[in-house]
Amino acid sequence: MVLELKNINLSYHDKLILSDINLKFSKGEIVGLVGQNGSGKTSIINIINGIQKPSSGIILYNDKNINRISIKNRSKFISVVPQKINFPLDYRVIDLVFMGRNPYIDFFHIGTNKDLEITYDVMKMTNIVELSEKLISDISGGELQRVSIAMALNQRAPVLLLDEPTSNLDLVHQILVLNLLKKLKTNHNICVLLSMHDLTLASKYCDRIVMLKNGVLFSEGSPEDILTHQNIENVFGIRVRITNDPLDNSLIVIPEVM
Amino acid sequence: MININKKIFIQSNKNYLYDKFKVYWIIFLCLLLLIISGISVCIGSVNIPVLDLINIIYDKILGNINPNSNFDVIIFKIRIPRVLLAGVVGFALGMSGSTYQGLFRNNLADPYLIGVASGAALGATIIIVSPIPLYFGVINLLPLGAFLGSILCVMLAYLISYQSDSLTLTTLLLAGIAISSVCGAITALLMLSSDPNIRPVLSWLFGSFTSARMEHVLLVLIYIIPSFLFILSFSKFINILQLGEDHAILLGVNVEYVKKGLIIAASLATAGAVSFCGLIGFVGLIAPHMVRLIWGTDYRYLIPLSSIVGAILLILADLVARTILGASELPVGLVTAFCGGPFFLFILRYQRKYRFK
Amino acid sequence: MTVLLISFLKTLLYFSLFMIFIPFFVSCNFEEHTDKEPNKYITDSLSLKTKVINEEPGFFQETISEVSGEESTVQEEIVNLYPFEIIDSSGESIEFKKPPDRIVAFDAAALETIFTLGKGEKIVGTHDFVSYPPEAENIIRVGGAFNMNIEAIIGLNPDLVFVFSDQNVGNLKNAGLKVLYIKSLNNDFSKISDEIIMWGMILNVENKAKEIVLDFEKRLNNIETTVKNLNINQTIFQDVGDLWSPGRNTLMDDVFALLNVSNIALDVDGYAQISREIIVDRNPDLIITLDRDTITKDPAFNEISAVQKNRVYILPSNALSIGGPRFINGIEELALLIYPENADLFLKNN
Repeated sequence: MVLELKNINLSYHDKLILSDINLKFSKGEIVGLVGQNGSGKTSIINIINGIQKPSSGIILYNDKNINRISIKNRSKFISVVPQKINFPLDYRVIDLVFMGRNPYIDFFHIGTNKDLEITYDVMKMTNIVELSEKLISDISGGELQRVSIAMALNQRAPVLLLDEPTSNLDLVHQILVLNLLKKLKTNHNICVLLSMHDLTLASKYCDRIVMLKNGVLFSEGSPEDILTHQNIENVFGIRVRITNDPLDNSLIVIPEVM
Repeated sequence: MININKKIFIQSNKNYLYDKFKVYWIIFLCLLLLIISGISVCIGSVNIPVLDLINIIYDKILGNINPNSNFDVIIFKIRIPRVLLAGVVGFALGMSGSTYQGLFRNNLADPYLIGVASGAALGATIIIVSPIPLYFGVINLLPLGAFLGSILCVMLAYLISYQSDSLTLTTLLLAGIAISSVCGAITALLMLSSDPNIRPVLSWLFGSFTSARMEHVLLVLIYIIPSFLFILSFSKFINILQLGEDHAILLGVNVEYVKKGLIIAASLATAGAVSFCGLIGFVGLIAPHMVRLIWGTDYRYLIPLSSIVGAILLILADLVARTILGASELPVGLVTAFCGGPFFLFILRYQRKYRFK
Repeated sequence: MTVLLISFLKTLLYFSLFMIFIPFFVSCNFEEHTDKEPNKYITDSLSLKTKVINEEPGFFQETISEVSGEESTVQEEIVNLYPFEIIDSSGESIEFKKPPDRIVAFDAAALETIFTLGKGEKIVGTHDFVSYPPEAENIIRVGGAFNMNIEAIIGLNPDLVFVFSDQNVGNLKNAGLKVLYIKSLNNDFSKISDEIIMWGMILNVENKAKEIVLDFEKRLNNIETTVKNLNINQTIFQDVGDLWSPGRNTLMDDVFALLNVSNIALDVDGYAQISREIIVDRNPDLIITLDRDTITKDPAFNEISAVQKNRVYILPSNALSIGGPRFINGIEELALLIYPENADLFLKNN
């Protein structure tokens, strides 16, 4: 499985949002998108999942132009956990998670037991089985995030996009989510692309990091290569200290307090 | 251990796939509808004793000629078409009310939102006020005019909000409001400048089933049955649409098709219903609310339940409209507005308690 | 506790603000639909005659015998009635010192009456829905029945404006015009005679007015006697649009009573929409309608006596809609429809 972005440009009302983005993603890797707010992270995610059409350039999924793939088929290959979740309050958790099976349910059918089994597995993975009968209005933010992830996982897509999944979570839930993503990568060979703010966690969990500055691809590569003083100062405008975590050989990024 | 949990999970959630209880409720409501229709046929401004009624129906089924032909006419040519038309129109209003509420993701949406009502009113007023005769051969031009007016207005709103291959719902709403306003003004102008004809126009505007006939029922059914089947088959997508258009696309729903299809189906059904009886308000708003309070927001069940509840409500309203004054009649729309308003307020107050419990 | 008190006081304040506006609504209430009879007193300061117009039918036959000795048969009165006052339907006293020259007659009945009295040329303005007599075609129209163009009326410089509803009386008076408001007749067509006499007095052709009224009453009596002699009982239903029908206390109901037909809409007051069931059940012998198709093409009405015997009629003229001198024509036209076999009896008496 290969997902390619070729020469992607995006402008909106004469404002250049993305220029000349070229990226390649393959199975079984976690890629972190980092950059300041407004550097284009969400736009890239929206372009990949088809919500946003680029001004020029193409996206190829296994060498097929993504525009030629129907909406339904696209949702079998690419699943998304959006940044803003506005779930209607009077549905139950199980109702929402089950919606993830929609791409596999034919027009005149409602779903099969198999779909229910898959839903169960997904809910077990995200630890929300006990919540299945609860109404959306009755669960917390962290649980909501997990529901959202479960819904995306239910699509069983080889590509999983997450737009700032950890921004609104407490530390415990951040780790839970990231551990889950790691498991998905290792056990199920999923290609995970997520945008993050915490550079330390990014270095711990991501195989590759893509750094964006003002809509331009500033740098991409392994965490050790990308997370350097110069790069971080260049892209974020702050000075940092970088040390090595001896336990798992990842980087710890510490901002310098003025 | 895990497997047992899974089995329990699947068993208990089979409800999601196919909620037995809700289906039972649908069947129950259908029976209730039949019973209420039956009772409605028995009551009217002319007092027909129940025994006579049963005899007359019995004779009709057997094909006997009934000596009491007046009652025969009243039951078969006036009451039965009337109850049927009220039921069918109520059905259409409940259906399109709940569909619009799902589509626009707003519980205040009603079937007349995008210009259906004002267009129909304008069409009907033009026919009544102008020298065009009411009948062209066998065709009754009044419902035809109303229908054309209605569809033209919706099409106009649709075209305005159809930009670069996608239908923007907020634009549709606003265009509908603007068009309604203009149509309303023209209708009022026509009414002002032709005083002697005001009464029939006002009567039509408030909606009434006075001149209901079997042909009307059949014509309305022609619009409603395909619309209903269409909307029902899309109802699971309406559920997913509640997450937002973008999210629905991400889950594999072709949102453009769904939006366009639902708007056309619901508007056609409403236009068809409204053309024959005028504007009857509140039913399309109240029926979905009642259903939502009791059975929740799963649109696969909300839509059929709202339709049946709408039919029941309108049959009851029509019963009141034609019996409360004795020999003369009230327009049905007056009854629905008069009772619907306070009822709606009651629901709103109760709803608040429900929400935050 | 204080919070509750404050919110209570606030609500009280809002409510009382709202209640300030209530008197305005009450005072603006149109009195269109009350059934009060207008009291009209015509007093004469020369004490020649004091007439009190009340509901007794045939009243004028007595007065005419009382004064006929003095009158000659010229158009203009020798005896000068002026000045006199008319108390109109709003209770105002309108003084007449001489015949008006420029009349805006915002009422079809008044217009027809004035024309029949031979003073049609004095009318300078009327409303849109006047269609008779043909001579009235060139008179300027100054509005629909319910929306008057006040500026246009002022522009015509009338010395008398006659209206049938009090909707714009205040506005017209504020503009300095002389307004006579006589509420339109809802029932009891014997008052038509009174109004004809009133115009006769205003225009100084009381003689001619009395002639017309005499003729009116003579024809009325003829019809009454003929109908009584025929002694045929029939039932009638009149559809004035969308199955709205005149019930008790309407002009039409009085006409039906005069013509000895029973109105099937007897249990409604005023105009109301009659249910089709009632129509089928009461099986009228004849039906008057504006559009025959609504009755004949309705499948529920197929077996009604009127439809079966092809007695669904459209009135030949709108004489019965206008409470003026032609009203008696309308009654006669209707009589011919009701008693087609005895047409000669009605025609003979003319």
